[in-house]
Amino acid sequence: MTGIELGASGRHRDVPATPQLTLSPHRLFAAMACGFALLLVVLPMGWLFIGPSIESGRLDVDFLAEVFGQRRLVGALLNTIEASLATSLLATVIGVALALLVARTDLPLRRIFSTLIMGSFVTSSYLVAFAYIVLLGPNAGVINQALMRLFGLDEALFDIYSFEGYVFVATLEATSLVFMTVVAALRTLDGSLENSARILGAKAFRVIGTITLPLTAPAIGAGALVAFISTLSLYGAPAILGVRVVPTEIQALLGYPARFDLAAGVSLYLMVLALGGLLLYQRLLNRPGRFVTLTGKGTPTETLPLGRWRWPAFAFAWTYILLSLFLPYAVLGYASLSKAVGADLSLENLTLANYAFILRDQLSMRGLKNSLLLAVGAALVAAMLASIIGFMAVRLREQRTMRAVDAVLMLPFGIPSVVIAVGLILAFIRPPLVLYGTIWIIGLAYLTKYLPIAVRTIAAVYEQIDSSLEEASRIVGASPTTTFTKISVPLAWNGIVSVVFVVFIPCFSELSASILLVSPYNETAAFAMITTWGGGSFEATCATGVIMLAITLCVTLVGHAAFVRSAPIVIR
Amino acid sequence: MQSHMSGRFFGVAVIALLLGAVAARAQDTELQFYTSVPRELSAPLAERFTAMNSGIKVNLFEAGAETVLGKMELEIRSAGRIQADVIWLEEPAAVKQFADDGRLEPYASSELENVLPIFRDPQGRFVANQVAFVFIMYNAKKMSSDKAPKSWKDLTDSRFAKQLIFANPRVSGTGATVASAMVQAYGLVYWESIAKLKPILVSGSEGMISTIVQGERLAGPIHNYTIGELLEKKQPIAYVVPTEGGIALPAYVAIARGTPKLEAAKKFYDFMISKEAAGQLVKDGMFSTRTDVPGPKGWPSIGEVKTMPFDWTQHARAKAEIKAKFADLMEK
Repeated sequence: MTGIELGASGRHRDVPATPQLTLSPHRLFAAMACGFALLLVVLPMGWLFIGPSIESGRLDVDFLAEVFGQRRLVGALLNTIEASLATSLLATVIGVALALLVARTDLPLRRIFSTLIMGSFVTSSYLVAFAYIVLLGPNAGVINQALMRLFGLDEALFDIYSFEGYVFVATLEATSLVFMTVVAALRTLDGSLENSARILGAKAFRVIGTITLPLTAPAIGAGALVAFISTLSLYGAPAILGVRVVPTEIQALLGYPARFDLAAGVSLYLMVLALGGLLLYQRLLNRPGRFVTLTGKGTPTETLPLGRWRWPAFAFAWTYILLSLFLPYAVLGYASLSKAVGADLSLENLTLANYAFILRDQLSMRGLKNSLLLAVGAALVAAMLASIIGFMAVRLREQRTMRAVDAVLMLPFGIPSVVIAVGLILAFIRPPLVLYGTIWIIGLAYLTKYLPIAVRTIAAVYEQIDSSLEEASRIVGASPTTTFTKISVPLAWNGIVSVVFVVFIPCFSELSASILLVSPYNETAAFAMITTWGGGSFEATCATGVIMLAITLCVTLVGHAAFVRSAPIVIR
Repeated sequence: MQSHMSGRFFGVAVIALLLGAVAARAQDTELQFYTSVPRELSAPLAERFTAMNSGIKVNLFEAGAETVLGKMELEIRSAGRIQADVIWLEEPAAVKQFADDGRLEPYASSELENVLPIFRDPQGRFVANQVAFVFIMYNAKKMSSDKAPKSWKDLTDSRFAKQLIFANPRVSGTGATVASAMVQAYGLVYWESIAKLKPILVSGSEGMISTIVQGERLAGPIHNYTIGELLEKKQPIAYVVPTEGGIALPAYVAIARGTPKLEAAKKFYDFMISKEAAGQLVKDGMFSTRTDVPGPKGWPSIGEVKTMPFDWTQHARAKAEIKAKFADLMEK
């Protein structure tokens, strides 16, 4: 993950004004793309402030104070902060250790490990929570029972229905986020300093402690903050495990009878918290001197031999994969094929009936269809907007307006999905534009939430593409539009395709925003899954999870095979 | 020339066919049907109705009662009316509230006279066609019948520490009703005692079933139809009718005011309280409110089930507060 430019720092150079001000179609189109993207951010956030006043017909700020009069909400806020801090801390320790092992040592099977951790990255934490009910339920949990038999215990060791249980599940997901951020930094870190230290006789641990870690500190901090922000958003896992956090509380506030003002109030506090995190993240990545060490191509580091720590390290790394990927999917797969997951292991207990139920079920099929539509739609629109905006963000970096647009566009990256959803409901529940009750409002939420990541990913691609080809094209007289479509887009093509998947995968299984935004007949797959679970069919719920995974894999693999070009596109 | 003519003829035929198809489609009415009754029960009814009335398709939206009510309220705010044509909800107080707010269409169905009077609205705005009862279900493999609870009060006994499961009243309509029923009978102290036993709370009104069947938790309040179904599947469970009585949950049918498909909605309403639908409901383990239909297999008739007194209006008034107190007591 690359740095997110938030503040406009540095001096801007004066740009010749006359040719810039002509209103040409491409300029208009680019401005429209930026305008639309800005609207996506400003509308929901603004409505959080003015929504309660519009609702009560007078200037209303009482709701901001009233939040603190509600013990439940204060409790939920504290719980959320505590859980996010704990998760972030644990995930950072584990994630950094894993990243160091993979990027710097001779850990066995480290390449397979890097691939598999992607699996943990794309697995929604509510699926993991479902699986751990079966494994770590305090009475019938399979692991608990085995341990109780093994050690002759009267009481279960673990209780997944607890604050700690929730932090455990959240940590499994957050660790992969930290890992990805830190491993990317380690791979681009110039190795010459580390190599010199080793030549001078420093031991492996000393090199890591005094050189590698300090140099990657900004990335580690950024990873910790990404973990913190993403945990603030979680709805599914705490709802399933019965832990009260802000997202579950907001869902209850929008029940019957609805309390929009309190929902807006508590959303605002969550937003302030998250934006604080985002600002910090921004400052960490913009620390002076970053570009000295984090270059695109540097001296590769020598691999540190783990020696007798090789196998303990191996066990540590693979325990993480076991806990975050293998065990959850084994449970989901087994449960989806069982008549009753609690029954004794036997062939007689196996059935395809759960899949048959889902395939016949109106709600589940509608949910899968809607989610596929929403995720593909959001991914394509995001990729399109991002390839224009990301391009401008890099090539027009010198212009102050562009930097400001870019900074505002990044905000939703730090705003929890549930907060975006509340803002969208307030904005689109009344005329002139009533989108509540349609599928469009869900699409807007996805686009708002994932556009920043899309823009950043594409901007990173353009950073690496030299602008000389584009300049050449302009010199021979091609219009900016032609240059963009014939030169810039083809050069960044694989980056644009990967953005489609980066947006598609989380949107397809999205729950935190859609739980609030779904309306009858516009259900998402995750909502259908939660409803099926609420209806008491755990096994059919797991079947939905497996079908969702299969669709994600199919779309990703087929899309990858069809659209990723191995050689640069021939420019005609 | 010949081929040109036949080509033109072909084109005209295609257009005629397309128009015919569009006209046929236009005749199809789609009824939007919101319910809190689980799909296993509500979907077959909707399909049966479509089979009997070709051209009227029923689109089912099912979610927990509180979720459906929440969506309906948001629809009234955004679109000015409930977007459903027909609703079927196990939440009498909310249905009555919607009726009093003028959100439901009065309809004097000719089928009404066959329904027990206590289940009909005098103004014809809603009618209950089925009643489910909540009893205490327990895992019979892990708990013998002499250890099993005998009454609702019995659940507060310390032998049920870490053995109970309840539906979260904030999400589940049934959960909220059970919470209120106990407060009406014993006061909040009932839930204070329960909280000390560290029960599990789950979101759906029946999210508890698999938990009890698996033996993760041993007892909890469960609908009679679920109990019947599990017993039929030979699952290791048993139930008790608590000495205070079961909690009766009537499901009310109503037509949303302002529906553009009033005629079709009335047909569906008639069907929902018909003997035909009652037969299906009873087969699925529900109690019909019709005077001419017996109770479900293995159960007495509706008049003979011991029923706990319950004040729905009081429930509507105190619900929010009880939910908040409940959350303070139970949630981590």
